Amino acid sequence: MFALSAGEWQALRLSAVVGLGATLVVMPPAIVLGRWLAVSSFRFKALIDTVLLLPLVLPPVVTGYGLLVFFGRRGSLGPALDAPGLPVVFTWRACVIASAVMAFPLAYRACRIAFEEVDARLPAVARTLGASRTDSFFTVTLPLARGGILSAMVLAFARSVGEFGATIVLAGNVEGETRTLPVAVFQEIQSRGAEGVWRLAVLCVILAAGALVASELLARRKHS
Amino acid sequence: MTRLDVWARRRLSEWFTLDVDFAFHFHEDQPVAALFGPSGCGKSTTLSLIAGLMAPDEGRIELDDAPLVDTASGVHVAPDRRAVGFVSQDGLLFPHLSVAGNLAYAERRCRDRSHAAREEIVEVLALGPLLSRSTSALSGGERQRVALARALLSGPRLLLLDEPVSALDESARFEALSLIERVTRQFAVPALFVSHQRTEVARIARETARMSEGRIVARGDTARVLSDTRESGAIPNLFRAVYTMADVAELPGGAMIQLPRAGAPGGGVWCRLSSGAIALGSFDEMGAPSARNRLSGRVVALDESNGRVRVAVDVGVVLQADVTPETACRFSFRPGAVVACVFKVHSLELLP
Repeated sequence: MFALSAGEWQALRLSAVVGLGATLVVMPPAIVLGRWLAVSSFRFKALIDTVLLLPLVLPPVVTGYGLLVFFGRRGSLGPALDAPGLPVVFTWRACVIASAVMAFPLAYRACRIAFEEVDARLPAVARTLGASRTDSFFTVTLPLARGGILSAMVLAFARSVGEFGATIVLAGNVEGETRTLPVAVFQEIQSRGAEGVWRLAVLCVILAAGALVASELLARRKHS
Repeated sequence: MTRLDVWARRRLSEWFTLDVDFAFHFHEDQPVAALFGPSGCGKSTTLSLIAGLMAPDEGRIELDDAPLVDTASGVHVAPDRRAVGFVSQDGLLFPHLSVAGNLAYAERRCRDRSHAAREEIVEVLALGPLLSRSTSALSGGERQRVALARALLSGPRLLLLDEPVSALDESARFEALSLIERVTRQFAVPALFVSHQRTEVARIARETARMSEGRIVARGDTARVLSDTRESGAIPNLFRAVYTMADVAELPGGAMIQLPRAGAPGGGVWCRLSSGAIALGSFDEMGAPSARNRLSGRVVALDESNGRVRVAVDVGVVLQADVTPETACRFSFRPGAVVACVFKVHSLELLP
């Protein structure tokens, strides 16, 4: 029952690649914006925070449609990417972009909380000991927020691997190109292949549970 | 000698604006000055302005005539370029580094290589056995010693000590004050000490500026500044005496007192005496009281408030004594008057 077909292996590999790619894309802005909003106080902070968290609460197909409008042939960025041969829609790049956009709010929120938990007086003391602003960030703030940031990475990866709604709208269901695990499950349900659904569902559960356990362990390490 | 000049104004809220103007000369033989005042009066904010962790709305802060900040000319030296060390109440050690890691952090970033060697600082502060420990495994006193060593290793021209001993129990507190006094002298680093505890300030500082509601309300010799305080209830007098023989000790100025415990001749001891434990009167009328310590002093100031008269008497050190208005009236206390100052041996508390 658990022998995977070539197509299922392909979906698993693609999901892993998309998950890693989306995590790599998401983490730098999540860290920068998380730190910025954790330490600053200004008039429109709540508004910016809301915009950044919006994909978390919007229906994924709405987000996917927005991305389709943006990256489509008649969209703002589509033609510019089509010209050098880097089309997005219905390619693996669309899977990465859709997953990254959906994972970003989780990663950003976890990073912001991680930075908020760092005692702001510690980097300040580092400054009085001769550390520049950048030095104190990399030698004090970042190491102290490390557990939360690693936890954010795991959550972003798990969210990316499980992404379906925005992906199906922007990337479609092209075997070997955009058929990730959740899309493959959808495909199996459509074709009434119950055994395939179970196999893929078990894989999804293993991946999701592994990510949650890893995230929890990292969070505990942060607090210990 | 190091000179610190501070003039700074900073609006902190709709109701509170810090507006301070003071200067300190730090002498080599007594390199600690103090900012004294109740919690919330702006002492820590003043230190943050000197350290560069906060910018004044308006002001000029100079260390040895070099501006650290000058809003008029747009000068703002970054905190890492000021060589101003900072030690706070809880030490603020980096929790992700060991004790040795905390010390190395400061040492690696020190721009002035002429400061005392790491080994010497570690030895004086008795940190050798702690070096491999995690900061979470340290007691309060140990944390403060590590924080002090870390600040010294950054090569500071001035140390800012923000209530550094207030989290310690009383015996550890006075030991820590002795240590601060020792290292500032030994390593020739002046320190600005902040506290709301008058005994701590009296114990360690030569000069003091008293703050209230964001402003400096008195500045000068510590004993004089502290004697200005209009606090209700008894206040502690803190002074140093030197043993001459057995349990007899000499005050600055030559007066002799009997202490509750004997000590080695020539050894110094810090004594605390409550203002409520001192009786004042004239030598003729007081007769022969049971109290063993009977000193002649001169009244230097009086303050009548809260239903009592607080009389400052110079007996070699200035002691604050509380008497009733009737007593003050009966003995006609006035500045310059000579009075008898009487207290029991066991009302004296010897500090570690």
